[in-house]
Amino acid sequence: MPYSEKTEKTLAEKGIKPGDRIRLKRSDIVLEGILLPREEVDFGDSDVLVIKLDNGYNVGFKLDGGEVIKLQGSVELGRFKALEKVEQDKTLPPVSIFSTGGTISARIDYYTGGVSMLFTPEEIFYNVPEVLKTAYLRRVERLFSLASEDMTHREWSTIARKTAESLAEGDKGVLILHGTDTMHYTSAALSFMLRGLNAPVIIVGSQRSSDRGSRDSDMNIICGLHAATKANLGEVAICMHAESGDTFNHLIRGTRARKMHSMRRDAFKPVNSPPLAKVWPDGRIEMVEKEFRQRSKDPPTVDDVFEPKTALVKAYPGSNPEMIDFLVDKSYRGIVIEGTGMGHVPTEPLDKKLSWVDSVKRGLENGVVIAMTTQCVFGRVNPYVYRNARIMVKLGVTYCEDMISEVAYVKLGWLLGHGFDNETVKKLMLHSFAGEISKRSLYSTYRL
Amino acid sequence: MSSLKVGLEFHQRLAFHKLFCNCPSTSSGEASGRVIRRLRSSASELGELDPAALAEASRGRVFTYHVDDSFNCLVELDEEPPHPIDDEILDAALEVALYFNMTVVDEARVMRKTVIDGSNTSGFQRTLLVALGNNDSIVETSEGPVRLKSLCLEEESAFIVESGRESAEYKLDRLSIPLVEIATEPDIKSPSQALEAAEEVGLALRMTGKVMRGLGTIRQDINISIEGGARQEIKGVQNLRLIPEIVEREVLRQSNLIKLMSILKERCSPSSLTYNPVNLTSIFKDTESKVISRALSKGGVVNGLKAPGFKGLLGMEVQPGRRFGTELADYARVWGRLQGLIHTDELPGYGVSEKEVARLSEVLKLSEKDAAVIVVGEPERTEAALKAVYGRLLQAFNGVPSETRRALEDGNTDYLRPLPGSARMYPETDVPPIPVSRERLERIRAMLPKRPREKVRELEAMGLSSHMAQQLVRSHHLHVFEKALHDSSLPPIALASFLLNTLPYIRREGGREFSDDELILILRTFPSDLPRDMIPEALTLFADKNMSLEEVYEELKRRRVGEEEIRAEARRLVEENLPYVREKGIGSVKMLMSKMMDKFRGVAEGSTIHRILTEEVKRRME
Repeated sequence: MPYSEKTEKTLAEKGIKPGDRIRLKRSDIVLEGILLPREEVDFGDSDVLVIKLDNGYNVGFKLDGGEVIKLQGSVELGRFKALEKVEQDKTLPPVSIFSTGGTISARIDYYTGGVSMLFTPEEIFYNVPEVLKTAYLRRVERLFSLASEDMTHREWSTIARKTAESLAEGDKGVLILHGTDTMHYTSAALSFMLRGLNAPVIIVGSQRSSDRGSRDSDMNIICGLHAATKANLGEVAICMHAESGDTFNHLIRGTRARKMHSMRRDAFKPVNSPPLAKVWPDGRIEMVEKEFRQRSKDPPTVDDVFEPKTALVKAYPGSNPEMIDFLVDKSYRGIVIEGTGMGHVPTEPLDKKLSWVDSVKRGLENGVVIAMTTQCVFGRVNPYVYRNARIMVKLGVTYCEDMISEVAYVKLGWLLGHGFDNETVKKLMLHSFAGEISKRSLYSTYRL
Repeated sequence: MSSLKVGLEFHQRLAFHKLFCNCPSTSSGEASGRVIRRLRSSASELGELDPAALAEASRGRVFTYHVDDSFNCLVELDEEPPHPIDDEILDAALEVALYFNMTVVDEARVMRKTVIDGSNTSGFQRTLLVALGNNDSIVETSEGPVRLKSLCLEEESAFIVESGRESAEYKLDRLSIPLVEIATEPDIKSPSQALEAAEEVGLALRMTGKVMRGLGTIRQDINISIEGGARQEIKGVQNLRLIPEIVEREVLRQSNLIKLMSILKERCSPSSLTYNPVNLTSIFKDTESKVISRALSKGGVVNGLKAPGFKGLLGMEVQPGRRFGTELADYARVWGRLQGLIHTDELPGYGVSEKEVARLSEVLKLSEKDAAVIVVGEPERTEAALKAVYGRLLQAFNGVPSETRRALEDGNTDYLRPLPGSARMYPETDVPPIPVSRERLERIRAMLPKRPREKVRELEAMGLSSHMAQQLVRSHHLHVFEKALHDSSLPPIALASFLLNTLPYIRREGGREFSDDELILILRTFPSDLPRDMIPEALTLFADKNMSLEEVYEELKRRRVGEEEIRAEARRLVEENLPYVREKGIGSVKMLMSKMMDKFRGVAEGSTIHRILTEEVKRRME
């Protein structure tokens, strides 16, 4: 309880703790309500008492020479009501749901506004009752409670293993609840780590918190479950709003998705590819992409190695190649450079120290695999149009075609994890394992 | 009526950009886009329900939002978190609070108030309590003081374009305009005191100069309770003058409901009323009733509920033109999303034949003292409607239920929803708490606007008559007057006269409305050497013709008529009417003046014309 020491002492003397009903009596006003704790990261004044009035408002008042007394009627803060158990229809297609954290798995404490990671099947049933008519949630498990920016390749590996396990047990599909910020890294990782996938593995998240009526999570879960149970798909895909409105969702290939907006519901867009499908909350699924992997019989195998000494670096005007030197000195095994335009880095700046040529050369000579993508996000890299790119490709940098930078990072780490020699890694970087590279750049796929 | 207790709640829009983003509050152009959303209910609100019922509840309505870059951004679309509240907007709310001597919080905390009717895209309204009432925060009325309870700063709801049972459409131009909500204690004891208190608060709000003016920028909610009755919250009174009528009619409604209760209790006990709906569809197979046959053709059913002991009571008038049956119909409308209901006190009617009525009485086993309610429509809806009607019938044994009601244009009210509890409010975690320092309050206190009485005195000292001063203070133009006065070449009386007389005249004659900013600018800069009668012309040129101030005044100087021209015309007129002038003497000026004005109105000062004309008449008489 981050009240100031002085205030905390005053409260302790009266035996008052957050959750207690109190009366604050000052010369100008008298008020009653429930004392609340102050926020953990506090922007206010830690001497100000936060009180929930009976009309529902929280207000902050200083003691200001007045007195505070404890009344009857304390409440227990941070307690969530246990939800009654729900019978499921076991004739529906079986599905496993894994929660990993993020906004979609967070629940708010209506008193304090604090957020907890709470997750039981009942949470889903009560918030999204449509689920009961769509699938039999055979297994509902909380794997972690992580914000998506706190994820690492270890969590990717856990998710991959759990998913393979569930599919081996006969599930029709798997639904993964995930924070949205790095959802497209996880989707790429699972696309590479689950080999020979036989069913849809759908990742959904939430751009709006679950306390509000306007939350997008419910529709994402519903559409995600429709896709997991009904789509004739053997791939990893992200299923999120296609538009700002609650109209339909896009199913986007795990290696082709990118979060393109920090806030909007339709933040996820397919890059250099059409969406796999459109999914409506009423269960309709319309395939858009013509070529995709279909459902098959045998469950997938897990290939979840990863080389953590892999980095993603961005080139920009005035960028100093010391960044590369640092990584090489720290024994990094792979670097993806997100170059400008068609895959460029500074090679002839007026200040010679800012040329990347020597540092890249040194890296390659030290056995680091260096790959090039574009920070334009959309489009393909090409090393032959401009001189600086020609220098890079001549040195041995791998130009990653139309692969998304984040996907290239995950793929390079995954390939390096196998212990292949560098030439093999470089060759495999340009092999499309899960639709991450297209041979043709289509006119229609540049759409924001 | 000594037991009457009324409290008022004012919602006054502030004249700033929106509360949680930088969108303008004044833009209301055409919407270019549509965004479709649904609002979901959540387990924590409906925790008591089983999942199946939840499914029904959460299926919900479809909301279409009309959007445009000119009036909304991602914040109103619930696609971006709220921005911090601008200091000047909070200052305005603090100013109002201090003006009423209220106790301001040391730290304001933004809350989310759950609203699921679609009027806010997020599913909640953001609101913060800014100040609480104390012994000194009172509004004086001739029937005694009225204490203020609280002042909140909150965001306006979206404008409803269309509302249906399945869907609603809203326009986002209005959403999130800042407003202050001021609530009084239930100290008001009569309809006339309610009006007086409302007028006083409205006046005080205008004195701050920080509030929007015009239709819809202020609205009142009325809390009423009566001894033996129950507390009601009546929403959305836009016309102040309607307040006494609403209060009177509510008193009438409650006393009638109490009367109804005593009749009912004499006839039977609540235990005689059971929820036992009966399917009556077969009776109406070949009905002549259009309402019923139309619903049946769409696969609907007719369901009836016996109301033992209610004979004649359903048709009993509770407010002028509203019967107890109308109150029940409100419940069918709100809970069953039906158009309404039919009851036996109004049958035969609606095309329902006597034969059908007889058959219905037979099936429902109605005795002479019994009535029945019939609903028509989809099975689930008729069930929801009858359940709600049953609940309302039961309440009739206890007199008056507490409700949230909506003000209708004739002073009646209808049912909106049950009274809300306080559980609907929780913290807005995306906006940090806002500390309010003592220094800030002192700075605002030092610059508080004058009280109306002081203001009247100040205006009188400027030479305005007492009547004019009162009128100006109570008018919506005081703020324009004060802003313009500062460096205007026009004397205060001329300014006041323009605002109180000329402007309403222009409006009556069908002229356009001018914004405060337009008025202030022209009144401030109007050159002393131009006739004041040209002010309306200056406004029109500036506001309509898109001319710069310089161009406007150049143009007016070109149009202005010099004294020589006026004198020449005066001489001509006098000569032309020489016999009349000789006969009437100086009295002829009046008739000649009107001819002069026909020619020179708006291009020369009336007083100048009058002076010259008088001189010419006198000259000729000599």
